[in-house]
Amino acid sequence: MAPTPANLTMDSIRKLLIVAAVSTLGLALVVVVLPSMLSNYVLGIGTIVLFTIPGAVALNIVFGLCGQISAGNAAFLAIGAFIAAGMTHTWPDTPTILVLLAAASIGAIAGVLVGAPAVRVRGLLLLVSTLAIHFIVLYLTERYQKNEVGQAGFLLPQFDILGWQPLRTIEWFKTFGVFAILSLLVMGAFRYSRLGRSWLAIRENETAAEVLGVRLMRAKLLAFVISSALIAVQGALFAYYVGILQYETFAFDMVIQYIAIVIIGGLGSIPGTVVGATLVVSLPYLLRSLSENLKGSDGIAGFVDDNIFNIQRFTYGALIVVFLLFFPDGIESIVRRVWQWLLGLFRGRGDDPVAPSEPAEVGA
Amino acid sequence: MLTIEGLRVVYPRTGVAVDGLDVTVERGEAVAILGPNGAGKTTTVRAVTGFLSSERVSVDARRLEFDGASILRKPPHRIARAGIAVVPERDKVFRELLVEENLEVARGRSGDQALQDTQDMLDELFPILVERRKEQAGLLSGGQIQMLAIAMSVLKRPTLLVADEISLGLAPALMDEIVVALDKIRDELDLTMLLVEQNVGVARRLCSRGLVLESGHVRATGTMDELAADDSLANIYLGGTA
Repeated sequence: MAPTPANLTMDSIRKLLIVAAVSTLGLALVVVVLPSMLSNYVLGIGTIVLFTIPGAVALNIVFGLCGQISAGNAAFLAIGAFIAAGMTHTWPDTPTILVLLAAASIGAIAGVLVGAPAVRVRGLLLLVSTLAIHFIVLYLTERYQKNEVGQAGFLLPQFDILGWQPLRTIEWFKTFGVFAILSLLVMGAFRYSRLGRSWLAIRENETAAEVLGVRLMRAKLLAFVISSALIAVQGALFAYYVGILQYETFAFDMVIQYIAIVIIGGLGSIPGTVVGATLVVSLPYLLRSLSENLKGSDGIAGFVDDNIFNIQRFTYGALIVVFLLFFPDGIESIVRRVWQWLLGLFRGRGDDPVAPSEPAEVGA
Repeated sequence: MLTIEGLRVVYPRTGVAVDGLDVTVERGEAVAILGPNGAGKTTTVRAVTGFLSSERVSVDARRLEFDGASILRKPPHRIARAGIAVVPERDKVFRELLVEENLEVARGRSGDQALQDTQDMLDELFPILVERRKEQAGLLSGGQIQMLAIAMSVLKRPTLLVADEISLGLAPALMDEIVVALDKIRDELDLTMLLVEQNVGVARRLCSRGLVLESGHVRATGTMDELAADDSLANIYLGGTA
């Protein structure tokens, strides 16, 4: 186990290079390639996918890596959004970057407040207690909105970081793309840290992890704090993006949507988060275009159109059940196989990644 | 070092599992707990390592002390910190983590020279773990998982190692390798051991003294030679040949 220092640095340099290459590729995709390729319609869907990724990453940290199922996703999103709305409402000239930083800090603090009692309970109890937080936050944001601006909602100023002022869909696509990649890097950094290993150990066997010296409360609380800070930033971005913020946006459906992404993508999987978010977000649009193509049968098309949200809910539910039953590792396992096959091509022959009983080639 | 007096464990459904158990393990000693399935061996181990305290199980004893301090109903991580390491019968390793990640979890924050020395010794004893360090622990064979579990439990130099059925389901050659390794680890780390075993051969090679449990009671105690020489015990409780 104790790798020699030379070995260790070679290993980490290689990892760093791979990470750098993949994120540059991703950055090029979302900033240059995709915007010039996709139609406006698809870009619109893509924007929502990219916007969703940081939240999915955040839930994947708490639920996927640490194994603590939380229904607080929409609540923290609302907290972040209303921090942005409240700050710019009170001090209209607050720079965007300051708003995002404030959202991250207050989100982290909220994560401590919510997490400290929540991490003492397990499983279903944790789910129920985070669910309670969802409704408490919704109630508070409703009161705040009605007191400050009334039913119409908060009006947000133009997003502006270093002169970058996204207005059109294509610009928001790029903005959310950058944040999505940053959030994925954050997840990767934590996954391969000591904390990340502790999370996975907790997920698999809490008692064994504690016996080996993992500090349970600390590790779980940190998962909550990192996750809620990330979601709060996403919430603030969301407020700027929609321009008019109303509390009704943060419905319970949103919670289910994020849980579906994490389960479909695979617990703790980084590529799975991207694939899961893409699938879950674009599903209703696929259903709609499907119904439009059923021109011959007006009855069906009409039915689908009238019930699109119910069909969507039903499909999420069905997908969650199907994945939990038949693909508990999520899309991740499929993605990983394809990825290893690609890596194999890249490295040339000589190491077959799908031979589990063979001792792995080390430092090759 | 470890004193158990009048240990009584009652499960909510199945009733009394261990009743009136007395064991003393002196520093440097290795003691075997023998007996047929359902005799209360694993329950005893779980009571000592604290794994019963989280469940709705009643654990009582006149004395349950380690190094002079009571460990009765203490949570598992407290007991671990006091210096008792455990190799449980099931769920020994984190199957989804890599082999090296398992060891890193066990290592935690400490990184002193003593730990490095222990790690070096383990690398030498279990070269297969070095070879397969980049693989998921769940892909290891039963014997390799056992090696990893032993390595993880002794990495931080505990004073007492409690191991549950370390030879279960292992091929003779592998078992031999593990027994030799445990012997060496004990010498190097000055370990005291409490081993639950069904395999009398393994118990005799590692332990000087043993006790035989039956239905939650101590049926016999003595040196391993005495126990093995007692034919009636051997036939009834130890499954025949040693």
